[in-house]
Amino acid sequence: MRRIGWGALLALVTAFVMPGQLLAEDGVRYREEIKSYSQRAIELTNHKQGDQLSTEMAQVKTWLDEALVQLGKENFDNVKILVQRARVQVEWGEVFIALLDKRAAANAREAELLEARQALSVAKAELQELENFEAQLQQTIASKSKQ
Amino acid sequence: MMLSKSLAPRWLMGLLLSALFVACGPPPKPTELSRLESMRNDAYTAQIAQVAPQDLEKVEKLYREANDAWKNSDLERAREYAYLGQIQYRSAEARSRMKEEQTRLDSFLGELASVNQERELLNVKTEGVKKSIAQLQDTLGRLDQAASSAQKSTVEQAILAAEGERERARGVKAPDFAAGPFNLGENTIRLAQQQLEAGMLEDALKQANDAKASFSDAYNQAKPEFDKTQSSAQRAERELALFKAAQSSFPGNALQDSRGVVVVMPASFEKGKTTLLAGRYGEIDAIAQIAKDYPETSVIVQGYTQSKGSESTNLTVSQSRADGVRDLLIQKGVDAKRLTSAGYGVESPRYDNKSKSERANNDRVEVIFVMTGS
Repeated sequence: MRRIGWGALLALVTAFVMPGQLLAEDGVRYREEIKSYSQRAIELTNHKQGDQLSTEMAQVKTWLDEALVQLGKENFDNVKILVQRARVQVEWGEVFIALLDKRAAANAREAELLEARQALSVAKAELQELENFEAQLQQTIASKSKQ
Repeated sequence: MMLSKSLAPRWLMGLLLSALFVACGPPPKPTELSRLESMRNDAYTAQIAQVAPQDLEKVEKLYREANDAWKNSDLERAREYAYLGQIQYRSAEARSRMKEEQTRLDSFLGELASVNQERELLNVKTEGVKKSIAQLQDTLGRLDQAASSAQKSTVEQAILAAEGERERARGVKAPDFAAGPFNLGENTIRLAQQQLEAGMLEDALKQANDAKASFSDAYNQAKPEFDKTQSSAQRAERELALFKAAQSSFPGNALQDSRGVVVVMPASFEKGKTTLLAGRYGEIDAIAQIAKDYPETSVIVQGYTQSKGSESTNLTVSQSRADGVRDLLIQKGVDAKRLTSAGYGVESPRYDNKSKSERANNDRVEVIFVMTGS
C-alpha cells in the first residue's frame, strides 16, 4: 500500500511538473528536490529496518505531496518550507538507518563474541581435562616402570 | 496543523503579531522552541559535540534562527526552525550513537580476534596434548602387555611348582593317606588353571600357591603313614626272602612263626653231649651266611634236649648246646651283638619222645632270625 503511495507520488511529480511547463527556475529546482527526497524516502521505507521509521516517512510523503500542490500554485515559500522539512527528516532517516545497521552489526558481533568466548571456555576445560589425563597417564607409567 | 498556519497570508500574520507584540510585549515561547532548548541542554549534547560537531552546529544555527524569530514575534517562523532544529538534533544524536556503536563494534571485533587467536593457540596445544596422550597410552599398553606376560609366566611357574608338589605328595600315597588336603589341592590347581586361561592372573597366582600349600600339607600328612607301611612291607619282603633262603638251605626244617624265621637242626647232638655232630658243621656255615645276608636281623640260638635225663642236666646241656652254636657263628663272622643263646631243656619238644629215633630229634638247636626295626 505504502509502495503504491510512493509510486503515485513519483507519477504525480512526473505528470505535474513537466519540464516545459515550469515557469520559474525555483520551480525546476524544487521539483528535482521533491523527486530526490521521494526516492530517498522510498529507499528508506524499503530498507529491511524501514518499519522503524514508517511514521516519519509517511510524514515526509505528506509534506512532499503538499509541496507538489503548492508548487502547482507557485507558492514557492510554502514549497521551500515543506521541502526543507522533508530534507531534514530524510537525512535524519538515513542516519538513523545507518545507526540501526551499525547497531545490528555490533549486536551480531557481540553474539559471535559470546559464542566464541563460550567455545573458548569449553576448549579450555577440554584442554584441562586432557592435561589431567596426561598427568595421570605419566604417573601410572612412572609407577609401572618402577615395578 | 503547522502547514495550514504556514499557508495563511504572511502579511496578515505579521500584522497581527506586531499588533500583539506592541500590545502585550514578547509572545510566549513556542513549545517547539522550548523542546529544542531542552534537547540542547540534555547531558548527551556534550557527547554529540565530540562526535558530530558539524551536525550540532546545524542545530545551533536553527536554534538561533528560531530564537531570533521568536524574539521578533515571528512565532510561525520560530516554530518552523525549532521543529527543524529538533529533527536536526535527532540526526546529530543518531550520528553520535552510531559512533558509539562503531566503537562497540570495533571493540567486539578486536576482542573476537583476540579470542579466536587464543582458541587457535589452544587448539594447537590441545592437539599436542592429544598426541602426547596417544604416545603415553601406547607406552602404557606395552608396559601392561609386558607386565601381563611376566605375571602370566609367574602364574605358570606357580602352577608348575604346585604340580611338582602334587607329584611329591603322590609319591607318599597322599591320595590314600591324606585325601582331604590332596583333593583340596586338586580342586584348587584346576581352578588356578581355569583362571589363568581366563586371564585372571592375580587370582590364578593365589590359587596356584594355595594348591601347592594343600599338596604340601597332604605330603606332610601322608609321609609318616607311608613310611610306616613302606617299612613294614620291606620288612615282610625281607623276611620272606630270608625264609626262602632258609628253606633252600634247610629243606623241611625252615619255618615262619610269630617270632620270625626259624631254622631247626634236629638230632644235632648225641644224647647228653654238647658238641655238635661232626657232619653238621656245614649247616652252621649256612646259618652264618644267612645271618650275614640279612644283617638287619637279630639271631637267637635256642638249645633243647630229649626227655631222658634229669631236668637240671637237660637245661644245662641245652644251654651249652645253644652257647656252642652261638660261638661257632661268631667264629664264622657273625657279630656277637646280634646273637643271644638260651637253653630250654626238654621244653617245647618239636618231635615225639616215644621212640629212640624220635627222641634223638629233640637233641636239637633252633636258630631264630628276628627282623629288627619298627
